[in-house]
Amino acid sequence: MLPALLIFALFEYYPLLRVLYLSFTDADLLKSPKWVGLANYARMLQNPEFLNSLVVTLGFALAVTGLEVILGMALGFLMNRPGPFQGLVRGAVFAPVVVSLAAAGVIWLHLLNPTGGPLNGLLQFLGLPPSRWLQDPRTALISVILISLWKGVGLSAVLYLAGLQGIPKELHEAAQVDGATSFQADRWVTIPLLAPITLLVFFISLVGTFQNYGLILVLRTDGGPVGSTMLLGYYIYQNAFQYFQMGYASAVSVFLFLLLAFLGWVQFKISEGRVHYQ
Amino acid sequence: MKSRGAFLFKVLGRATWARLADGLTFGVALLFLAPLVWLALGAFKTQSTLFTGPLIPESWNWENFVRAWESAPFGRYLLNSLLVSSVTTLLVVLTSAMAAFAFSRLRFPGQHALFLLALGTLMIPSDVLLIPNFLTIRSFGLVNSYWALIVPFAASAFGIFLLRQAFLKTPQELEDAAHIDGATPSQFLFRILIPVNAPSISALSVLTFLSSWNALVWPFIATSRDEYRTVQVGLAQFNNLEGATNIPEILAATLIVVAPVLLVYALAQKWFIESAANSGLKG
Repeated sequence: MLPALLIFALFEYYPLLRVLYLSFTDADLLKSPKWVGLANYARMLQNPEFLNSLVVTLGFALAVTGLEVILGMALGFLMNRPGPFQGLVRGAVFAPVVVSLAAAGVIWLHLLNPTGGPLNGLLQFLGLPPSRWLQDPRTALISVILISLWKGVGLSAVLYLAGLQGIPKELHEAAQVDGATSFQADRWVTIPLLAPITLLVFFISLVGTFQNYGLILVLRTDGGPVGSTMLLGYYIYQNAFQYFQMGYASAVSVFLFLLLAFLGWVQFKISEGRVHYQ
Repeated sequence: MKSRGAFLFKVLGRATWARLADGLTFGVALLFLAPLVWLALGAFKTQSTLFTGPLIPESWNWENFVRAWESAPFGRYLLNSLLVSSVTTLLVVLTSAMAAFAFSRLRFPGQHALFLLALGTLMIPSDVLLIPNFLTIRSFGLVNSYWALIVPFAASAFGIFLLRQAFLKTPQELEDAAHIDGATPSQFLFRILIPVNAPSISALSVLTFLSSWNALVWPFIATSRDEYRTVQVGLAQFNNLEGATNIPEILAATLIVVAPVLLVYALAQKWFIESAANSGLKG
């Protein structure tokens, strides 16, 4: 027990206190930090770059989370259906989950190449105009969302699959005996029974999307064009490790922590009362 | 909704529906595999045929791999990753098993509070800890070292939770029997408790190894020299330096990085999926 707690103390709890302290200082990597009170927070809340990053992050998180819930459930049903391709689809949908973020980023960076890349080839084949994908401020974030979905939706799908397998077949059959079609049995019996899984997928995805900024390191957008892919995590990384504004970046980190703690509290409140297990 | 669904069902018939659903299933599988297939084929093409030539390369350019391997020390990167991930996994299993043992089989004051403290780390996102942890390893002079890549990840609240659940389900009679036979608590832990809970231990191992092998942001920050770079950082760096001058070479490097994981995954796919599903449901 002691070794684990020692590591938690040194690399989880101590740094949590330290980042809070640093957020009240003008720390950089060179001189010793000086106390500046709430100056970093004041600067943060007035900084259009931060506010833009917050909007981008929330939009990204909600889009990815919403789509992971909806597509994850649909894929879960598909993977649960017996048929000749059941094994194949289970293996295929989950495969990107084991692929690293770095590799996924590299693959998609070149798939989305604006001059002759395969995705534009596909658009051309469909008779659509080519896109500049990551290089166009209107489509850059959508591209990152697409990559995140390909990489992450398999986990949601597998959680739904496990949930579906845990629901006794008799319930579905009973609904059909009572005159419901198979679709109705899914809609009114199976999907409500999946509510605990939906809640779980929602929050696993939501918290996960905040960590997806590693993609930005690989996709070479540097948060752009014009800030359109400036996820908060990357904003922290950029301020801390490229501009060496450790104090300011610490204030943004504390803000992110409070935001995620609030979301965790919301999850706890919802799961306490509203979700019924079978 | 009711009438339309029932109507469509009747018109097309059960067999047609089943075939349509099979087709959809196959299409979805292709959609998810397509980027990986493109990677695997593209790694053998030339720059001029990558975007314009046929999907299957006309000639298989193995030199892409040779050139990628020679332009950056991928051998060293792979060894670093293998070392870091193996040691991290071993340590996580060890520290988790010891803590889980204390939290499930022993009684001591403050036990509940300490358990909550351990679980509380699940609520702290790693991005928030990036700056202070970097400053910590810098003050220890550990930037560019294996220590920096391993020690902060040598304990896992998820691991403690998972193994505690498993240990709580292990029958008390086993412990009583071991005690009668004169086993010390540590002998009981290492000779009996860990082996009988092999499925949980192996699930924890595979998930820990995978997340360590795939880690990007922390190794990116904690290393700046090739001797300590992991394969993910090496790949990101290689991609950024090469630009778009020779994409097939970059794809070859990417394939080197993902192939080991995908090979193991292909062999033990069911087990991977079950481990992930269980971890999500329990964590």
